Formats: sequence, C-alpha cells, structure tokens
Amino acid sequence: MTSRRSIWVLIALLLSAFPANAETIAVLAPPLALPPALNPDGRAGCADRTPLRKALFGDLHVHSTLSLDAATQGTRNRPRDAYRFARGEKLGIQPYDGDVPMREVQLERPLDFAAVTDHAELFGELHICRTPEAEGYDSTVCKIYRRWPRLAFFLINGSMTDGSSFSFCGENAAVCLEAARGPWAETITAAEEAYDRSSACAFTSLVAYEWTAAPDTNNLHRNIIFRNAQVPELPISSRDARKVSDLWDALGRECNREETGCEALIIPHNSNLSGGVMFAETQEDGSPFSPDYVKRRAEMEPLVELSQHKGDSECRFGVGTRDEFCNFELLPYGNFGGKFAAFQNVAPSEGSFVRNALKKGLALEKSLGTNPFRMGVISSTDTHLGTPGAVREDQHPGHGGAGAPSSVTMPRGLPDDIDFNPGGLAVVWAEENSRDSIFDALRRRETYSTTGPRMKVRFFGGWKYPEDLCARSDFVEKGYAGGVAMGGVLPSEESTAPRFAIQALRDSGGMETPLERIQIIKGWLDASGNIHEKVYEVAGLSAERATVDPQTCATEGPGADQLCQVWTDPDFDPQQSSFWYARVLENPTCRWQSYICNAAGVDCADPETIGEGLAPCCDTAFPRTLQERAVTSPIWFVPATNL
Amino acid sequence: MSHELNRNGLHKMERLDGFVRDGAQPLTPGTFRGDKRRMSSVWSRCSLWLSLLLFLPVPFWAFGTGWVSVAWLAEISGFTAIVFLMDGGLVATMMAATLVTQTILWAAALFFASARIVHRLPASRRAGFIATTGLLLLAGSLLFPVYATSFVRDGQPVNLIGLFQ
Repeated sequence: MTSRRSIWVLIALLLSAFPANAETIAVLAPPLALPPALNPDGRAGCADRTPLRKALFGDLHVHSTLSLDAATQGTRNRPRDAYRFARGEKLGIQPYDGDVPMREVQLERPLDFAAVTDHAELFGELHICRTPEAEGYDSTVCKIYRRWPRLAFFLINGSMTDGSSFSFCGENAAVCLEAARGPWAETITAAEEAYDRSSACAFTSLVAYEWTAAPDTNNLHRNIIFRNAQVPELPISSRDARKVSDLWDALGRECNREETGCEALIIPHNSNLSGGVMFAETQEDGSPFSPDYVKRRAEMEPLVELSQHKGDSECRFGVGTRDEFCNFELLPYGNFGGKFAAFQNVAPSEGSFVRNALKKGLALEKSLGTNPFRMGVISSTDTHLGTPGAVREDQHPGHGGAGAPSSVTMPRGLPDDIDFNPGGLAVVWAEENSRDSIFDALRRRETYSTTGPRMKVRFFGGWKYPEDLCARSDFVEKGYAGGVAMGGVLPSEESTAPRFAIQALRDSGGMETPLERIQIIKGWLDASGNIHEKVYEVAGLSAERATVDPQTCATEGPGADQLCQVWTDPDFDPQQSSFWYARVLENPTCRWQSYICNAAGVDCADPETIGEGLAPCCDTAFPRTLQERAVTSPIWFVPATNL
Repeated sequence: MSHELNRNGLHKMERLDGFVRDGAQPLTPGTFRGDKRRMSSVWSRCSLWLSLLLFLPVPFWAFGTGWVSVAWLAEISGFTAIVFLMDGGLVATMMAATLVTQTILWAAALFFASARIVHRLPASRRAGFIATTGLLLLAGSLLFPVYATSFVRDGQPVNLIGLFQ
C-alpha cells in the first residue's frame, strides 16, 4: 500500500516538474472524450449532454430593481423575477397603476442561461432608502431618492463616481456595507433557486454582479461572473477596489484561490463609452504595462461584451479601420458624460473598440510575453427592466438604464432613446446546460456574440481540414479533432497556411432572417511591428443583395438558410502573429424604431404626422435599417519564435 | 420718514427698501402719500414677485432642460444643497451649485421684473393688476400642463400640482 502511494506521489512530482500551459491544453484537447461530470454542488448530470457541444443562448448582463439606475426609473422586478422571465414566464414592467404593471413582456423562446448583474456599489444605500426601519431612511439623500428618483440617479450615482460616501452610511461606510448584505444574499438566493439542478438542465443561472467604475465618466464597467454559489461575503465594488487592477487583486485574494471553492471571471463592457481608456496601452495610473499586469489581465478577463443596449464596441469606421460594416449601432458620444453634457464628450478613439485591442494585443504579446487582449466575445442586453433576452427589434420595450425612463407614465412615442437598441445575446458552446460547463466555455472563450437572432455559428481553425468538410456529416467532429474552436490558439506549424472551417445556420425560431454572408476579419503584426487588418468575403455574398423597405419593413431578395466554407488564408505568413474571427451578416431588416414609427404613420415629409415623442423617427443620424450579425471569438496564431 | 413736496408740488422720489426706486405716480398738490399706500407699493411688488416665483414656468438646466416654477427649483436646490453641506462630493457640489445658482438668478430676475412692472403701473391700478395676474397665473398653472422636467413624471408636461407631487 505504502509503495503504491509512493508511486503515485512520484508520478505527481514528475508531472508537476513540467508545468503545462493550461490554456494550451484547454484549446488543443478535443472534447471528444467527455470529462466526468463535475458536480460540486450536488446537481444531477444532464440528460442532454454532448461531447460535440451545443450552442446555449443567454444573457450575462441584467439589472433588476437592486440597481440604482433601474430602481430610479420605476423598475420593480427583482432578481427572482428576471430569472422567471428568462425561463419564459410573463413579466410586468413599469409603469405601474398602483401595484399593477401597465405593460407585460414575455420571451417567445426561453433563454438557456442568464446572470443578474446588479451594480454592487449602492446595494446598501438603496436598501436603506427603501427600508423604513433602517437607520438613514430619513436622511436627505433618501428623501430625494423617494421624491425625485431621477435627481437621485444623478446625485447618488455621482457619489459613486467620485468615491464619496453619504454621512448616513457611517464611518467607512460601515452602515451601508452592512446593509449591502441583504441585496447580495437576495442575488445569490435568486440564482440558486432559478438553477435547474434536475437532469433536464433547462436553465442555468450564474451568480454575478457589476463593478461600476467610470473615472471622468469614462466607462470601465465590468461584470463579474462566478462559477458557482461559492462567492465572496460581499461583492467587491468600485468603492472597495477603485482601479481595475485592485479588482483583480481583490478577487484573487477573496475568490480565485483553490481553497475557497470560488472562481470568477471578468467581462468588461461598453468600451465604446470608455473614452479610449478601456483598451489603453498603459496601466490606470498612466505607467506602462508590466509583464505582471498584462498577465493578470489575460487571466482575469478572458472575454469582452461586444454589443449591448448602449451600442456596439466591435469597431468604428474611421477609428483604426475602413471596414464598411463598422457602422453598426454607433453612439454619437464617446463616454457617459457626453450623453448628458456636450462639454464632457470625447471623440471616439482606438482604445474604445475591441478590434483595435485585438490588434494591439499582438504587439503587446511580442514585447511583454503575454497578450492582455486575448479576449473572446459575447453580447448581452444590459436591460434595466429585469428582462434578460428581450432582444427583438420589433418588440423593443426600451431597456431603461441611461435611456428614457417610463417610470410613471406610458412611453409616448419611442420607448427608448434613439441612440440605444435592444442589445444582444451571449452564446457558448458547452457540453451541457450546467454552471460548470458554461463557465468552462466562457473560460476557454468558446463563445460568440449575436445582436439578437439565434444564429448557430461554428468556427474552427486548423491546418489540414479537407476541402469537402462542409459536405460531411462529421463536420464538428473533424473540426475539433483537426484544430481548435473559436477562442483557441492554433498550434504552430510553419509549413502551410491555416485553414478555417466555418458554418452558420440562420435563426430557425422567431427571427428567421436569411443569412447574407460570412466574412473573416484578420489582424496581424508585421516584422516591423506594425499592425494590420483585412476583411475577407468568405461565403454567401451574391451579386444581387437582399433589401428592406424601411417604410414597411418588407424584405426581398436572396439569402441563405445556412452557409459553410473551408477557407485558407491566402496571405498567411508563419512569422506573423495573427488572429482571425468570423462575422456572419443577416440580410437587412428594420431597426427597432422603424416598426414603431411605421405603425404610428410617421411620414417625415409631413410634419403633421410626427406625433409626440416621434421626432427621432426622422433623425437621419440613426439608420432605419440594420444587418443583425454574429461575431465569433477569434482564433489566434503565435509564431514559434514568439513563444 | 419725511414726505416732502418738491418745487412742483410733487412727491419726491423715495427709496423704500434701500435699493428699489419707487415709481409712484405724481400726486396732486396737497395730497399726501400715506403709509397705507406705501405699504401697498411694497406689498404689490412682493405679491407679484411671489406669484411669479410660484407659478411662472421658467427654463432651467440640470442634466437636461425643463420648464419649472422657481419655487420648485428652490425646493430641489435646498435638498441638494443640504446633501452638499452634509456629505460633500464632487457631483453633489456641482449639482447644488448649478441648481442654487439658477434659483438665485431667477429669483433676482423676477424680483426686478416685479419692481419694474409695479413701477410702471398707476398706483390706482396696482391691486387690480396684481390680483388679476396672480389669479391668471394660478389658474393657468393649475389648468394647463405648463411645466416639464425629467425629474418629475418622466418629463411629461404637468400642472402645478403634478410638479409638486
């Protein structure tokens, strides 16, 4: 017995002497042999479990009444309600007539997973202002909150931004921190209750919250997603961790250690509102990146939210790119302040967009040894009504937040600010619909973003995919076996050019617009250290393009139910660090305001027809049509000389 | 207070409250402008001012524009100023400064406007004019949704009661 144990110890020592790159293992190991189901929380294994992984659609950015900006515009739905909605139940939303909601919404297709991500910063303050027995309930701030919620939105949010604390919170904000335990417990409990632990695995809820720092109104917000319900005693907010690196440190201390059973990852969002700070090439204090800093960033932030209610962050035409499709859901301001006061606005800059960061990351990896911007992508809604997954353009109820509130009156005209949109969804390729499986998919970046429609997109990169792979029934098996999936890193092979196998199926249930084309976007670093990008048309584009009539929203023209292509990079240079990601475009359809404007009979040539609240229908700065899209996480290649 | 007649037998111009010139109309020789009428002048001015403060919609800016009564503006300015005094903070300071400044400016502007109007009115018509103006403003502010601010009812136009609710 002793000798057998000694052998095991010896094997363990030998293995530990060769520290493997965990990421390489994760992306190279094909998932054909299923790992044993990991059920640390005692859940049943899922009946529907596939080694080839399935696309799960979810929303990882959802606010309920526990967030100040939701509560101050009349949102009463709590985290539990948000999960009910995600699972397909009807939900009432503001305005309310007494206790009766005056609007009702429902998803036609439930989500597979969701995370309620309320702002952690003001959990305590909000709880006190709504609890008559609480010390501080009668404070002036709370009186303002109850009487003029919109004023409170600016005033209380402002205190969060500038780091000050209200006197009713006591010394070191101890009273408010104590009060924050209630909402945090409610968040955890709601997620625990909504999680389907049966073998049906119908729905997964993830414990989460939002860290909400915005220095100088430049957005640095991040969602913190936990693997399970083993979470810190209190969420680490931007009051506790003022800088992003402080957040990484705090999560490293309180969560991401083996003995805690806690594991978290961070998803930044709305880089488009960051004034270029989100992907700046310096640390927060302006000092240059250090190897340790970029390594921690890469570990903690494997994903980025590409598109949501407050615009798209993939790219912007004229800001580091001439890609004509980088004109999607752009905001006319570059930070939060710019929305409310022109003097605070900043021009869009390269540090605000994900594609630029992906390109910069190649150069940083060469100089620092780690790519801090090796990020996969997802999208979400950022709803502030507690309505995860409400993404249909033709049924947009508004998402609140910084948009137009409908707290006490029915929206007149458009239900949201014209610059905002219904948001998107996060899609993961996971073996089963469970927390571990989804979290693992997020961690290895096998994810993609859609702007609403539930397109199914596979994207593999390898060296020897057969030309006829699309025609074969074992497309997915070969895809995994012959390379890496989206989010992975291609193993080096210097003799040939990489091949990419991409397959896209249009949404088949509800938002059934045909597909127009598949593009591959490549970024690379040349020998001189310059970064480049190129957009390749890979599949689907025909001479005749489909069109949509913005006056009626009627569509016509060709389109595909599915597209598939094996594509070889014609410009590959094995000496150049590169990444590739796929973008699948649907045929044009109407943007959300068109449905409302058309129904109201707005004719921009006839001012008489432009009713109250409908003037934005005729704002030509905002297109009446769009092309919904899916964007995959990239696949990277690092030359052997860089490793 | 003295009530001297000038060489034309007209009442000398007086300063009633230290800085506002009384625009009283010339009196006929031999008549005196009694205390009652002088109070009436002050009262006229104050009544008109109060009516304007309470009912007249004025534009303001604070994270959005709107039309509100100065009294309402004074109320939220007061609350915001208390937050600034008790808790400080950059945003509270900015908001309190923005709101209080606008309140003071509007209050002063309306005070001078009241004085000017009263100055131009014949004494005999003041009471009637001010009563009519006050009633009209009150009726208008109650009957019509003449105020609108994103801080109240999502920015929908409201009347006086809605504004203060």
